[in-house]
Amino acid sequence: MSGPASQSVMEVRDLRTRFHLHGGSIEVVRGLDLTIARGEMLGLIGESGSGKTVTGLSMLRLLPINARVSSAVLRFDGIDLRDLDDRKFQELRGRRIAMIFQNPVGAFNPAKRVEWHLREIIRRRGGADAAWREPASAALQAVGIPRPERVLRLYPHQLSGGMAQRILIAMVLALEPDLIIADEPTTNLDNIVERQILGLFRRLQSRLKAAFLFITHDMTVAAELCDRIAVMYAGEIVEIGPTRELFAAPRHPYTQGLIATATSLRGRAARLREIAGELPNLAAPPSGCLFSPRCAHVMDRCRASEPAMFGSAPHQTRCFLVEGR
Amino acid sequence: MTPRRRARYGRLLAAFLVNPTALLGAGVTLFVLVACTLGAALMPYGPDHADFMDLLSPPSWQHLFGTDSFGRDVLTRVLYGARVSLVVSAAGIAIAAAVGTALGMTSAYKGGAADVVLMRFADLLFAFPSFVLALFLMVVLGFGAANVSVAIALTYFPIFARLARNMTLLVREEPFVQAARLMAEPPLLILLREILPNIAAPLIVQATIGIAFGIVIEAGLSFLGVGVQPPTASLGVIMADGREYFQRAPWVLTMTGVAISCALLGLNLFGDGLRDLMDPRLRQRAQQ
Amino acid sequence: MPRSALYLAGRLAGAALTVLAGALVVYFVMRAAGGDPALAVLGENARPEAVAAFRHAHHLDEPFLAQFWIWLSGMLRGDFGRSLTIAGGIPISQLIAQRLPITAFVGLYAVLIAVGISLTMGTIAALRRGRAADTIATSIAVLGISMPDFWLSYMLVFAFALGWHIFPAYGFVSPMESPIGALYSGFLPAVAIAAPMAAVFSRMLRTSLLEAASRECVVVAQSFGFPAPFVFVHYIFRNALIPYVTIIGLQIRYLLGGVVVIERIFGIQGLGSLMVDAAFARDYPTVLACTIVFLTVVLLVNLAVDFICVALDPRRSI
Repeated sequence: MSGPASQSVMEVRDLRTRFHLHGGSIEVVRGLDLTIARGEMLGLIGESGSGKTVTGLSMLRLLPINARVSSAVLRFDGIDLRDLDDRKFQELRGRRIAMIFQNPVGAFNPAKRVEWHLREIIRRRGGADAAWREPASAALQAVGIPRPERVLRLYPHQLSGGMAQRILIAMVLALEPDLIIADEPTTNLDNIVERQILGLFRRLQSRLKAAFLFITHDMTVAAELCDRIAVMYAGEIVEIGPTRELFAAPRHPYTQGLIATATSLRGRAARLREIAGELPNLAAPPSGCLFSPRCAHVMDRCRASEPAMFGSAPHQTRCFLVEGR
Repeated sequence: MTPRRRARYGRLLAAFLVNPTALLGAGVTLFVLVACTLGAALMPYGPDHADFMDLLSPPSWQHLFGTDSFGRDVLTRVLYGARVSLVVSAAGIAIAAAVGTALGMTSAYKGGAADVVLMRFADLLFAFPSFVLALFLMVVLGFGAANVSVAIALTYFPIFARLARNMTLLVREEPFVQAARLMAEPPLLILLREILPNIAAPLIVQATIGIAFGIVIEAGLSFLGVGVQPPTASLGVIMADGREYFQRAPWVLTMTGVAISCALLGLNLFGDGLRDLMDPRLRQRAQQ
Repeated sequence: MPRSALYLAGRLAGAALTVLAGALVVYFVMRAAGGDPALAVLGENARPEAVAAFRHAHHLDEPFLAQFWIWLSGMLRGDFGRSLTIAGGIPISQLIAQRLPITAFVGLYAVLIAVGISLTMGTIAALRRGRAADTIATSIAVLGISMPDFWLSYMLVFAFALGWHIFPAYGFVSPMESPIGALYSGFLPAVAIAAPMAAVFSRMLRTSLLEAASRECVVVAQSFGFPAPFVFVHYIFRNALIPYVTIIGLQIRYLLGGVVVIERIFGIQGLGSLMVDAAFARDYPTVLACTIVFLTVVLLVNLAVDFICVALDPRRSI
């Protein structure tokens, strides 16, 4: 950890999120460590069920009432988030940390027009009530919507997925936060639209000062956009490193499997290479390394104890295979 | 009954036993039923036994609900009256359920002009405010208990018809129905053996709520004087009686109303509980 | 907006058709099973000449279809004929014109009270879900549905009129004469009618509030940092209104049922007590007319509620 003028906008150590259900409880995020530097785009990759969405929601304190979040360190721009009461946290949301959600059309208030949403966002930012049209139109144009006046009058159910996601991105950007958590922003969009939105992210990235936590299950998308990538499995980070290095030399067997699958999809190989097995049942997790049941290189000590993060920064891996290297 | 069906009912029973609403409702309903059958029989007084020494006396240990203007024990009258009200309402709902379900199922299965006509007719009946329609029918048919049942039946018939029709439309497309059709099973058998058991659940829920509704209608009609006619005493008749001397002896009307409320509470809770149980099952089946 | 005017016209026409169909059905039912009006009015032992004269005066000796046409054309003009017995000879339409506003007033009063109670109780129950306030509110709601409203009115009279002399136990001042008097004398009857409806509305509001609160747009709104009251009003409450208003419309049928008996109890000179009096007096034309008017009111109210729902829901543009 550096001095007072800390470089990181978000610092997380040992984040644990536990859901309490009727039968008992499940720990969905199991000791996650992350540091996001100012202005960087960090990718968080994992399968569905790996806990990546919950991680984002945990950082924003947006989980339902039966969830308990604990951490050793949860610091945003030097502020200890755990000290904030709900009221202060609400002030932080949007203005300092914001989120882009997966389901664009469902993110809007179905009873209100787009212009209502934008006006409230601008009001949130502190813009004068009367002069909201200009900034609203500008925000929409910045995300590639050519005729904002028409779009402003629309209702959410009249928007296509791509248009809705652009507007949501515009809304988040208009708030000018320091950290944006983008949770699978292109998953629900079709391919052509996905490419357009990713292009938008690329263009915005260079212009903005905001840091991004880009959550996705798609390796190739992460590879295109992110500076660093963290791979998540069953509630913990199993490998983290700069994008190029990670792709050139993935060390964790899971990462290797993911890249192999992505490559086989891309190259339209004769057979799709999949990682055998399924995610562990977090209600009754296996002992030792959580990936061991599916690992091709599994050793006895993998089943006995959980590995720590090995390797030297910036590229680290949670795997006994890397220990000592 | 196939083993699968037996298992399904078994699961249903288990779910029922842990649902507090359903249990409470069943308990209260059972209590009411037992009270007005066994309880009535066990009462020391007859419903018409008049004790002229003890007119309009307030509730006491000898007369838990007090006595009325003829010196009759109000609790006994209420228990017998509840029996009458329940029978009248249940009869009406039974007719509505039988006819409505039969017509609704047939209409959905056959489709076509008959379906449209039936549904329009049911909608038309349903457009009338229930009590107004019931009152109208009493004028037309004449006052009396049997006609109250008919009025309840006609008022509630559209609900069963529509429900049975909509459920049948859903179930009609299920594979086992198609299979039965392919095996050239006669339509009547298909309706009875394949479709009816699968739509019975929401119908039973409606019937439970319907009986509660019927009791309210019967009580209202009899209270006005156009329903069950004295000397036959239903809960509404007793209340009409109690109304005459409400200021002097409010307990007659009050306790009768409490009895009605008990019955309604039990039936409503029971119906609600049943509906809670049925809901996820139905949604599950709709997804299969 | 010519398109919505067309839609309105279409719905009105549909309602009119339903009223017509309903009128036909009740007319036929009444004539088929009703018995001889002449004997009903003049008594079983009336002289044959009197009966014949009566029958002639009321067109009862003409062919059935002719009678039907006379009645129908009269009804379409607003002329329901004359009362047979209870208000000998007075045009029924006059009676209805006198009485309908009173019933409408009491009904509206009841709806407003029911809406007021349910907005409070339903919101509290949803906000304090699972806690004591919720259980209490829900239990009150269940009890409310389980009480016959005419019994409740007596309990209210017992408490607030006979016990504590706050409200009158009987008599109703027409709003035409004195609005304050009407509000005062109409309070207990309106509350009695409102109680079971308030129970239903509260439960529905609670359910739809909880449903709206579980939608994703609420989490998104929170992620923008919108304050909690803002999110509640605009995202949760606003979107819970549609099912709530819908059920208000659906309950009108039962509200009108309650009005009939309550009017009798409190001596309110409305359409309901007219119908009951006519029922006892075998005044068939009046009963017929009342039934049709009630049907019309229900249909019009349903239409109004439907329009409110359409206005509230941008997805249903006319």
